[in-house]
Amino acid sequence: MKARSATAAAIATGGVSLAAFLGTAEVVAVATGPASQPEVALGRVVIARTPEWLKNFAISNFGENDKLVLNISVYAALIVLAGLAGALAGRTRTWAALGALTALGTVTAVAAATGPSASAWQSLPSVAGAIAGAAVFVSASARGGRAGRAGVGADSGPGGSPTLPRRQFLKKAGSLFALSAGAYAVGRGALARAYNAAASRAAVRLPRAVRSTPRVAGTGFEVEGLSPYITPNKDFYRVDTALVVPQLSTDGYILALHGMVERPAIFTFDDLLHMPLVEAPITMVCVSDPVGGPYVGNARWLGVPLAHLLGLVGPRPGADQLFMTSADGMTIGADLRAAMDGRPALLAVGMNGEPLPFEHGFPVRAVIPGFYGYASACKWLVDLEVTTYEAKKAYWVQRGYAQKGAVRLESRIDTPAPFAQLRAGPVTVAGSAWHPTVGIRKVQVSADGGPWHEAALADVESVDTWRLWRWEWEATPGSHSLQVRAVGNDGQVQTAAGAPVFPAGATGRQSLVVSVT
Amino acid sequence: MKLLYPRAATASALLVAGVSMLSVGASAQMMPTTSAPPVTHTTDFGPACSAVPKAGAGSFSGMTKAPVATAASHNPVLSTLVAAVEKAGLADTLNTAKGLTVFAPDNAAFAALPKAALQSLLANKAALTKLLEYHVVAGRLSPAMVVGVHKTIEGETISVAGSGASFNVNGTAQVVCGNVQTGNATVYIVNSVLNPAA
Repeated sequence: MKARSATAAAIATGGVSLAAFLGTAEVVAVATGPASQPEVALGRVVIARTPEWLKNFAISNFGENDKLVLNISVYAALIVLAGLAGALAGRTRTWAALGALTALGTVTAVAAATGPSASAWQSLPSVAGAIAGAAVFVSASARGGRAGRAGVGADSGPGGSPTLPRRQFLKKAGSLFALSAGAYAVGRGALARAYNAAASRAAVRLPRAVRSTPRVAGTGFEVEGLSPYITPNKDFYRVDTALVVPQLSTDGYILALHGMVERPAIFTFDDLLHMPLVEAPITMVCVSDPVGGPYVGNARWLGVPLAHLLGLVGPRPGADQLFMTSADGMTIGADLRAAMDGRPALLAVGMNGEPLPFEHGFPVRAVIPGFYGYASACKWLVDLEVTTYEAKKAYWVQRGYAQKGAVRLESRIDTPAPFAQLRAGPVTVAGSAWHPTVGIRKVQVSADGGPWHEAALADVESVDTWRLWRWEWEATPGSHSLQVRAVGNDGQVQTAAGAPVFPAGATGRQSLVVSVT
Repeated sequence: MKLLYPRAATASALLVAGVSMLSVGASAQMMPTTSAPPVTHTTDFGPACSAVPKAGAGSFSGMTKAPVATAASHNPVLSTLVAAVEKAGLADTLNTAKGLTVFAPDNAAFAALPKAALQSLLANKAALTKLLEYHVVAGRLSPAMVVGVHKTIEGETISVAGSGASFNVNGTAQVVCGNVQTGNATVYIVNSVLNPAA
């Protein structure tokens, strides 16, 4: 009984120390930024160390709540460890608790200071937290020990030290805890106000482009169900591995450009905005887009030409890869030559006239026409390294995807929908076709395996975008299949040979079954 | 013990509750603000589910969930159905439709058909398309919604009965593995081919 109550008090002491650790760290983090919060640093380490299958499991089972589950797990683990450390330490082995606090402080300090775009200062909250935790433990455990003995009614402990009622221990532990929780709440509130990335995004004023691809009329068709030429930001597809959409602020944003270059450099967000910006429409495609699939979109991107930026640092001969890293650790390797060959390969800061949405990489992402996103379009970009394909393998390349990832010539039927029930008579068949950097010369449609009919083509602003098309079909009753193919400006005819998404992007011609009555 | 233990326990419980509340508050604050609804927690059920691969070939490198025809092609118990779907030219249509429920006959279901009937079916594209469309319902039906009469893509209705982990279609075909989630369709694997004339 005696051991039991002493243990309970020791566990509580461990918990109060943890609260002091977190509360103090939170207050200090107001000065050093949200990424320096020890629990956030710890969460990032957990995400980085989580195997792929477990991540997939979490995403498919917890969906949008995966982050919540992660946070609760981190806090639960901390609480259990604090209790264990407290119990182990008891009142005689204070070194055990101090050791545990030092270990926690060290791990979180290192994690915070070595994260992407981190500095040594970011270890400060963890260090301060560990010191406060230790102080609280030492202060509370002396009384806690006495409280334990007092709990069984002894009037004095071994050595005759004076006793204090357990109530006093609870009071002390309780007030220390309340103080810590209060500090935590105040710190968190201040952090939320000081580091609101939404405010940072709202404050961005995008400069005018020095060069803009001229707008043209007639890029779309008034056909129900057909995509517009420019995809609105809210409808733009999103495929990434980010468990949490990174919320980077433009304050303190630093982009490093280094590796095989003559003059390595770092750029702030303002540096980028003061460079000559170009606006260009570019169709982006995800390698995971199946034939006829939804992972394609077209937007007007405003950004610094990568050629300009690379020209400032001077790539060395022999380099062939531009290796990009996002704030959440994603790596994407792009073809260095393509980034400098005159196509509008951009470090984008704007999308369809507004700063990048958070989901699409605020504050800076890359967009390079002609390559699937996994091999060109790094979001939340914080690091650019000029290197070789030989030296470094990007995330999806490590997982077997093709090294360069050039987008394939493809076409898609937007309307009618698959399995549509149609009335006999004239039916508009319409969709899009793309081969970024090459452009589309012709789109053809066939009904029930019959002859190919020329579709009418909309205008385009550049060869880097998709091209919308329409064809009028005289539908007769029965079940029918429609098929589409495109011909590129280079004369290439879209292949009928089907290839799966993995490893280099899907090929084949979309066919669609509809029924007409 | 009666007196002492509960107090310390109360202190610990308060501590845990307090820190947990902070953590939940903190998480809610850091949650991304996207409009997508949370993924439901339902999983597949049924005696034959162990034969259904949880991850398709290439899914180790998957960025997005495979659509239904692609997912089926990774499933060895559905190889006859996949061949029939390709023969009918329905693969892209199934893959690109916005949301479907597919009652997928397994290989044993096709094997149970008279050989001659199966051969003539596979040779007649129009009849094959009609039959396969009879296995597809527009919209995704969860186990809670699947019981009842549903109009198929083909036009005729099917009737699903049962509860828990035991369902049948048209009174004859048993669901051997239900509620399999693919990118664009919910799949119920059945042990007999459904016949619109029945």
